Amino acid sequence: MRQSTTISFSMKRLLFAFIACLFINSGIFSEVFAQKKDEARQVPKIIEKVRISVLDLMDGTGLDSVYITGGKKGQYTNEKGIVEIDSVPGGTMVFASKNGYLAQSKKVKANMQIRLAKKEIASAANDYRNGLYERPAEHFSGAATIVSGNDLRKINPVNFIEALKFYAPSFIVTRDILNGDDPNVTPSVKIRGAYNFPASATIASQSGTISTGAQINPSVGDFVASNIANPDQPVILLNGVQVALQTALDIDINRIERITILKDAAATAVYGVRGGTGVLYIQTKLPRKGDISVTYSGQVQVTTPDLSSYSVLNATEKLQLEQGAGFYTNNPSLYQSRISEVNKGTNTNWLDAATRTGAGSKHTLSLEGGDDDINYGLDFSLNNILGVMKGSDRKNVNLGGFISTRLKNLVIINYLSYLRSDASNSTYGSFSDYARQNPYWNPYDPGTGEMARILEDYTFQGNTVRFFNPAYNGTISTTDKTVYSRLGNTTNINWMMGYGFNLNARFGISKQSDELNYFLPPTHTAFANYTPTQFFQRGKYNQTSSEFTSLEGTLNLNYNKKSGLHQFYASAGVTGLQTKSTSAGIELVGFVTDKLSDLAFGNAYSNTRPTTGVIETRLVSGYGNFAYSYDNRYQVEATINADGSSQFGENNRMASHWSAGASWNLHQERFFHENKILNQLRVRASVGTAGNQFFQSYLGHTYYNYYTDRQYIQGGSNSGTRGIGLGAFLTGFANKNIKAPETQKQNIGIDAVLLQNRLSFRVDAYRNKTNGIVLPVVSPASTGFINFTYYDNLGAIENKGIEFDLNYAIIKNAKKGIVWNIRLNGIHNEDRIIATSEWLDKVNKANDAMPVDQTRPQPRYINGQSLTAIWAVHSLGIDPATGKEKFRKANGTETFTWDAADKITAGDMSPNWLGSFGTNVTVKNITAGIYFNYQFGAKMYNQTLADRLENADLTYNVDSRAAGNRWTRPGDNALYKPLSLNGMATSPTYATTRFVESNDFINCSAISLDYAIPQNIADKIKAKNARLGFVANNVFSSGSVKAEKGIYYPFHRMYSFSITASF
Amino acid sequence: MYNRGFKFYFLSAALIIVSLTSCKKWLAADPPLQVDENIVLSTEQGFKEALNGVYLQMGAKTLYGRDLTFGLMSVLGRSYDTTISPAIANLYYQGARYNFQDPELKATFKDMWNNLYVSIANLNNVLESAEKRKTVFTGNNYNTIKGEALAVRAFLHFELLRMFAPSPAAAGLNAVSIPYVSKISPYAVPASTTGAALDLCIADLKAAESLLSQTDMTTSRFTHWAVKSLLARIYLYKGDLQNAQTYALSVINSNKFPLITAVNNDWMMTKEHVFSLYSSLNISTDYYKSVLNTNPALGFTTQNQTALYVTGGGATTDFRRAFLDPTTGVALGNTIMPRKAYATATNLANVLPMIRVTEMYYIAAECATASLDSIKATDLLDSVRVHRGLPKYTLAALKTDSLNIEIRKEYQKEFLSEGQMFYYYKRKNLPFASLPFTKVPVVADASYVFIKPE
Repeated sequence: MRQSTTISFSMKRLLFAFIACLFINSGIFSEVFAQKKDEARQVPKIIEKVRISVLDLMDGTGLDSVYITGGKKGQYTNEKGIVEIDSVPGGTMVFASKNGYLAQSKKVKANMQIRLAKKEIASAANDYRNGLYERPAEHFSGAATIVSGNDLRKINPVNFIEALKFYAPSFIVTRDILNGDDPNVTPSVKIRGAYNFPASATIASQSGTISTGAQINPSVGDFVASNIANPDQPVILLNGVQVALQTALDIDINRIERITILKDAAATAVYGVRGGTGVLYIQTKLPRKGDISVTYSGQVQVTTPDLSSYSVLNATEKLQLEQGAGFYTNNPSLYQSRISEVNKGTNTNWLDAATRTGAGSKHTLSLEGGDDDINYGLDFSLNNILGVMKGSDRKNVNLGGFISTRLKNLVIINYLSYLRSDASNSTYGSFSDYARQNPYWNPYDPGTGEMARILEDYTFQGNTVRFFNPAYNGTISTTDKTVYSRLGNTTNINWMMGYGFNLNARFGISKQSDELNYFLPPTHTAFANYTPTQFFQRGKYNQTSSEFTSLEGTLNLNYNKKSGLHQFYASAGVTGLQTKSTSAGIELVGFVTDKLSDLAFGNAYSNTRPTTGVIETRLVSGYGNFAYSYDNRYQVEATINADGSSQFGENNRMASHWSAGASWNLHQERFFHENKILNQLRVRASVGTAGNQFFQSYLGHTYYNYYTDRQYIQGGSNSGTRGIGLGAFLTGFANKNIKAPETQKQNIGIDAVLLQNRLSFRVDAYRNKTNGIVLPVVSPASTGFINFTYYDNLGAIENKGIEFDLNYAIIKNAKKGIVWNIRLNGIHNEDRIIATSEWLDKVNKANDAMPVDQTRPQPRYINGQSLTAIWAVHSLGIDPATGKEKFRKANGTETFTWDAADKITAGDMSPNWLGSFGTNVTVKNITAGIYFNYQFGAKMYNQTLADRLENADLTYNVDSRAAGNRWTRPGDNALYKPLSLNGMATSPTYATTRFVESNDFINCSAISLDYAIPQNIADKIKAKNARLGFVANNVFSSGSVKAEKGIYYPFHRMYSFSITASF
Repeated sequence: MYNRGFKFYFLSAALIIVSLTSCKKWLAADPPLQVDENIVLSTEQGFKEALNGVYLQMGAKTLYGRDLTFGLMSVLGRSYDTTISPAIANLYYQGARYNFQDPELKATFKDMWNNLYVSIANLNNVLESAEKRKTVFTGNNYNTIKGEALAVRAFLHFELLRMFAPSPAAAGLNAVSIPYVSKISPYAVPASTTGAALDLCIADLKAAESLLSQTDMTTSRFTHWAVKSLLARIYLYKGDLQNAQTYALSVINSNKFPLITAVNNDWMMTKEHVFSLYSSLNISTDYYKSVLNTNPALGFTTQNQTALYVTGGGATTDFRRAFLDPTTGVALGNTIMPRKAYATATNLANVLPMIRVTEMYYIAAECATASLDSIKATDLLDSVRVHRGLPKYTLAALKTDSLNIEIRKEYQKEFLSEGQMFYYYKRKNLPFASLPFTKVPVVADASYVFIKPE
């Protein structure tokens, strides 16, 4: 440990020397220029002989056939780049130009040198770029997946995450069974596997004291908070600047140029403490040079709810079930009133009551143009996303301005962007409230035709029973809306210094302000059961304002040099990143009428103080990377990094990381030359480390708070004006040694291209071991650590697996314009806990105890086990004799008693294989494709069977399977326990292996059709590159589990039509 | 050329030094909504504030603000004779029964344990920081802060020991007692034996004794005299009567705490306090009302008032009898009596006595009794009696038996509803059957040992 600290220190010193050197050098250059100016001021005289040598700026070789004008006539340089001109008057400008180079003029001198810079040629599409430097793909030894924006848009025209997972199986998007396709919920994503325990298991909640290490109601743009909440999430870099995943999702997908997923040590070690969970590097499009052109793209996306996983009883069936279960034994009149309702034809499909078909639209307008000296672009987009729950939508407005100018060898690029997002959640509430309403209830008042507040009302044994209509809440002034705006600016300065050096500076600043308004009016059904004394407490208004500011600066120096068969690359840089997140929320209660829906009409605060939070983080990161290629055949590379962060304890202020990689391009070997089968074959391997910064802030600080309502002085109310009796008390105790968890990464891979570039194949095997995961320390009360928790680096997790991607062009006929591709990819990943702590044992114990919902399997964190294992008690089925569920105890005996201690691993929610396959065909100007994703070997707990069947309360609607396969009399070999009025009350079904099912599926993620309008037709409207597109998403799927999906919010199917043209 | 090279090295070196130092500072971002230790404890006043914080913590409702003084502890110590209904005040009902297994009582014990150790952790942080930041102190203040923190740490540990460990009279000095935590750390400290814990208390107090000034007569903070008094109390508890007597007499003979002869409506008798804790008046009134005024109304009958103060060696002239003043309760619309903790214009009810000088007389008397010096013992008791409106005993030397009874009665009369009697009974390991004023029967498995939450 000590050794690594010294290394990091000397590293850092080296780095600063480097930067310092740069500054000095720049000073020297300006001095040289200044001298030249002085010379020019001298009296003009004829220079007899001028010898001009023209060289390439970067590698210094002489340039031939450069057209030189100076004085009278033009001349070309010879093959050594030299030209001689006679008798030129002093002060004349010499102008040098050559195709492919940027022209330059310079005052004449007897012996002069002109260095010309190459025009930027868009580097090859598959070059590796990580936001700090770039390398040709063939010279990079790490594992990274590059996906172009065009490919993404083929799969999903709205959400890049859904599209990216098709191309990169290692980019794992968790299908959120609860929140479905809610447009306002950010999906949870990870690269390859798990690197951390879930936030729920790593953050100790303390009663009475507010958590000071993680933001409470963070801004949507707060990437520090979102990464703490989703600790496996990769770092998202938008044009090199870190942003939250939601921020990346908010930008128009049409602006994405390409996305690079950095996975292994060779790719992520440069990012040090930010690289542990991988990096998603998103680049946006640069405006095209040339005449001004305007591009418009319009799109309509229609979303329909996918309720195919739901199967509930209809009115008649439900009534029959209730009757059969004896629901009306004591209340026959209720049965009469209900059956008459059914006979009148009431059979409400509640699943439709709060859902809709949404027709959203998107408009993108961009303007671009310019030349090598000034290049500009403006972009505007309006994206109106309509969710499938009524009133659930999201409106994003993006505005951006791009300008780049060139001053000699200096290119300055500035991009200013503005985003405004209006996100409303459905005022109808949770979808689960609708799935359980009885179909014989009519949501509309039969008299008025308006939405009814009370669905049913009857008196039973002297008690009034009332059922309220959740849909009513959608018709009143209920509000649940988050509005935010984000202003961002990124400046890039690139200086081609010559001699192989290139200096790049980048500065990004962004500020986002959010406001959440959440209002439940007094007639909202949440207050329906308030007593008369609580009348003035009805209604609730929560307003939370939050802000997030981030400042990020990076300085990179790159060097590359080719000398014979040797190619060298060296890059070094520093990054500084500062974030500040603030949030303050107030809540008022007591509103009199629905109409007075402003904060001002509240009766009182529900808490005496606002809920506030301020979190600041700071990071300095320095890296150096060196790569070498011999004859394009053998490559080696090494990276060192040293990071300092405010998250670390003062004894561990610096963390260092490293990586080493090597690759061998077999196809460049002589024995492979002139080969018809194998076009490319590369073998790569890398090893190294990266860190993980996503834990709470201020764990390395001891801090105090003050009593705000009393002093330690004698007299009256213990208040005094002198303040001598102020009292302070500890609210946190520092772990001065706390450091970032470190992920050790190993990767080995093969890239192959075969059969005349028609078959490409890529496979990577990896192993990532994260040590020192930050977990709470269990402190007994006698330590005095009651109101705060001490954290330490304790747990460890390993993930390992293999991923592959196979692409085959069945037909590739450029002449006829026919291309037919197929693709298959997949990943097999295993996560394993390799070190736990006393804290996790405590979490496990708490998860097994009763206050925690045992009707669903609770996680257990056990050494050697998977993080996603399903823990349930081994069921031996329903006992035919008694109708009770029989279990096998841990000691092997049989029992009727469910005991959490008998839980076993009943399967793993992670699949054996997960991936995609698909095909697309292009015939001339029509492209059609169909894309699927699949998983198999996964298990799932069928929660529907538990919640909506065995534990169901017959007061509400249930799953359609509720009636059948029940145990009724001794001897029955039933699947389910006997029917009862309230399963949870009679005989609750807790996590049992009986409901663990295989979760294999194939889902058609997209069907797409694209038509490029022929130019002769497009000409009629003076358009270029006009296209029509159609994409259908999540059209159908086939899976092995019959369980409800999209519990709080349904999944959707989406059909989008688009038109694009440039003018 | 040489010049340029020199410039380069000089500038780079300067840049490295500047950036390394400023970088370290920049990275040490302080938590914005809390106050970093480096700021709080950067001044002498900050250290005082950290100690004030501990005193304020000690004033909490479940600690000395209520339950360790006139609340639960006085119920256990039989300062009230009311029949408490479990429906109204389960905590006090179960307390009166010594039913320590009761969940509510256990929760209260847990709260006491937790919060006393929270204060100990705060003190340990003060002690460790003071060691690191000696330079911020002027004059003798380093010694004062350190001595005070050590003394309060010993005081709180001794309180925990008296609550959560069996008394030496019951289980000797080798019984498992409580963890003595002398370092702030998130990791557990094993429990010491009673003897070892007492020795650690004594060691801390001896260190404090030499650090604290003898001239500081503040009573709201732990001073030299409070340390001496506490040493007397601890030695007595440990059974080291010789040291107990030495320390008790050193406080008495210092003549710094003269006994008063009339209360003048200062029912807490603040002038006799060696160490007392300020509680906020509003808070103490609230707490007072929560046990003594509104339901549950703890109190004392006139009949037992007479039994306690008049019968036997007492007399109606004992002004302490007015601790129980029916009119106070009447004024509050209730018939309860202990007026001590009820604040009026003159009664500083929010100055809660932790150690009173009269206890030193009783300690010295008890030690004298044990060493069969009846004259001295009687004389010590008489010195208090004459200041309480009572005549001297008729005998110049009471018999040992009656001395012991008289000492116990004096404790009862003097420290009524101050939370001290429980410790007396526990120290003496009195059988539960002989506890006075028992209205509800004590449970069969009653014990003087509070239940530890861990």
